[in-house]
Amino acid sequence: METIRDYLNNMFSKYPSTPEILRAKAELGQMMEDKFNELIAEGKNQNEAIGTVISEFGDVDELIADLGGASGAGTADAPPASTVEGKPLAVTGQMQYAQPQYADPQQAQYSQPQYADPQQAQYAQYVQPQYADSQQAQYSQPQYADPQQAQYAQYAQPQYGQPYSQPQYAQQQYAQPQYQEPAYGDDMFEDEYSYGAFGQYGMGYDGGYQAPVQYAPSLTYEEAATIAKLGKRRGLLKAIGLFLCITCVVWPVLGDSIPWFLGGPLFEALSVLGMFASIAIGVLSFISAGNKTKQIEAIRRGKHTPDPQTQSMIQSDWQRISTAVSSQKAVGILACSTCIFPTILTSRFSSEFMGNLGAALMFGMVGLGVGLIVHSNSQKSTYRSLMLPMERGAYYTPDMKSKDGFINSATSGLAAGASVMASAAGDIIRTAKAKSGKNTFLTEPFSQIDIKLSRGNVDIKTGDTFRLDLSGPVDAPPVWGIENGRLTITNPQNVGFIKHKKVDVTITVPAGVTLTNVDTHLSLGNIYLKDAVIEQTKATSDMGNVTAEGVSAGILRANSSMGNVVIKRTGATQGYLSSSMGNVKFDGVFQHLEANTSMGNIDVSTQTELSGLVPENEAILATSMGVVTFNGKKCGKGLHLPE
Amino acid sequence: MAISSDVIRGYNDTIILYVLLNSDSYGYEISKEIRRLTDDKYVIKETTLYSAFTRMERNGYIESFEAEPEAEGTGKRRTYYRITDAGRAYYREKCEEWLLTKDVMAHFILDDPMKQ
Repeated sequence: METIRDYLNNMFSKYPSTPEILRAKAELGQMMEDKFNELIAEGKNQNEAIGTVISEFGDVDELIADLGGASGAGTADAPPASTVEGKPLAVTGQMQYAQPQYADPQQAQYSQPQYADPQQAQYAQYVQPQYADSQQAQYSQPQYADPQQAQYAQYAQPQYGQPYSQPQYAQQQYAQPQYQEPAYGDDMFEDEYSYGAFGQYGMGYDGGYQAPVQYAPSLTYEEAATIAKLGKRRGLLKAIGLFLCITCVVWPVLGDSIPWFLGGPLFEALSVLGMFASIAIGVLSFISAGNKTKQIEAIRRGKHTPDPQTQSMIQSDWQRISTAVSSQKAVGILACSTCIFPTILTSRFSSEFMGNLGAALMFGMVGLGVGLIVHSNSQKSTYRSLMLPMERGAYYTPDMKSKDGFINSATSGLAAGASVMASAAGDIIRTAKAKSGKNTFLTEPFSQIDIKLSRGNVDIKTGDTFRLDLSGPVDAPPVWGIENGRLTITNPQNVGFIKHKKVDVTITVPAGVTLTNVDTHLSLGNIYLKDAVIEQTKATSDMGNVTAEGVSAGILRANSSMGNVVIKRTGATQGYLSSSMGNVKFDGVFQHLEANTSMGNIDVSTQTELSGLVPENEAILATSMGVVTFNGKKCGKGLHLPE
Repeated sequence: MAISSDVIRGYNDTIILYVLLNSDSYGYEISKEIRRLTDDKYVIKETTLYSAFTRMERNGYIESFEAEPEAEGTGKRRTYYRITDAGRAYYREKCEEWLLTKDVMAHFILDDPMKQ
């Protein structure tokens, strides 16, 4: 079903998210889901079902044209109808780039040039068998208008013949273009335009056409594998560093107890040297672990998390090693929790040396244990970072969680004390490299925003394109996704809220786009909305300011417990503003406004110079301990309009 | 030999209206019914179906409403379509048109094309 959803998202990716188009997408998605479920229920396997659903789906461009033709739905952002002559050029342009995509031979068979767009190619595997002798074979004799196109004939699967022959149907036979329904999607060809700028594949392509929505490149499998390798090395370096720093005391402890006739004083002098050497090497390890982090960031910078296909490869890599990684952690915890035993044993001997040996062994075990835990955690977080911050969070499979959870619960009771130590150590490491990463994503269109974050600032404004700037910790980046036109951003769910780092979010939507619903909740941080057109918005910050400037809103709800709510130059049909300990200020036009504060002041002024909105004031303003001011006039504790 | 969707294009509305004559229905159910009634000879595409829905709703031939399929009980709602009186009138009109078309075409169709 995921594949089908991806397919549908891709088909719609170049269209603006008008309510009409979103509705079409949702309806089509439902039909596909129904069909898919029924095929599965009939006993078809996953691939057959996907193949049938996709092949019987039809043509989105045609549908959008139908929708737009009669009602003027916004297709202005859609790519211009491209000419037949233009297509083959684009195909050749991308051919060379499509090739390296297929790392494994199993996929290589799909790398035939007609799948210029790597994204599409993955669906081809489902669709292909379907057509061997399909009813659509009648389209397999394309009329090549131009001999130059004939060279592509060899690549033309039955279903791909249609794009070439379509113009003839269109011009000669059908007087009513809105009833046209090409049997097979020329979207295979159309779509390469919207993906023209898709990462490295698009770089060499200069068709003179700028896709309206550009996608940031995704990490390739090779890059992800390099990151995994670097992550592993980083974990090892950290573990060594920790081991050496924890066990450095072993030197003086042991050196101290060697009797004089065995050269005790010499060992004592050497042991101090050993301790410092141990610390020095440990610190060097940390530094080079930090360098690995930098290398990882350099690869990641500005890139999407891998596409679903690559992710599933990474996922299976992870599954191969996950047991070993979890076992390391278990052994580490065990070592930490049993570190006291050597001391208990050696305390039975009354010699000083044995006592010291016990202590040394204890440090050794703690060092080893902490090292193993950190090594294991580090690898896991590397893999997680490759899979978790997906466009759709769903790819984070519960497998990873449950396996790990099992080991954790099996050992955690035993090792509660030790794991506190270990996680404290982990935190020190994390703080040491708590640099934040900054990523920019040019996203598919969305009309709804849903943000829930513990700490951070949210900025929603207008610009040229749909864009998301995220900055947050590298090891536990915020999770974001777009599904059915809804952008969701949250803290990673498997990280305790105490460890949630500050996340700064800047969302840009093209001017003129109406957001239907924006819901933002921050525990600590500021929310800033600027110039956006929003049908319904709810902005809540428990500790922080909520500011809106130049916004047009249907229903505007802004709440803060401990910050100010400031609404400037804003038109709202209905406004509901509240702050417990801060001030509420409104400056704009409204029809119905309610404002409450406990301890702060309320200051409302209506502006009539904002064009296009006629104020019909209906206001209920109330404060417990502050002062209400309306258009510069103090009104005591409350005001009710009309009086 | 299957039906070319170019030929049948003008009658998609008629087909859908026919299915709705009997009972209200939703997207996938309608497409399934069309498939069943034609013995798998005509599989209507999702985009075609949706395009027809919006067009006919705009023209007042059908109305949509949200409901949950009885058989399912999953709480998942579908957009159901219901034929209107205008839709019935349009359907009758299209039937007449088809009968005429069939009549006309019959003059040009051989009983056994292989003879030629």
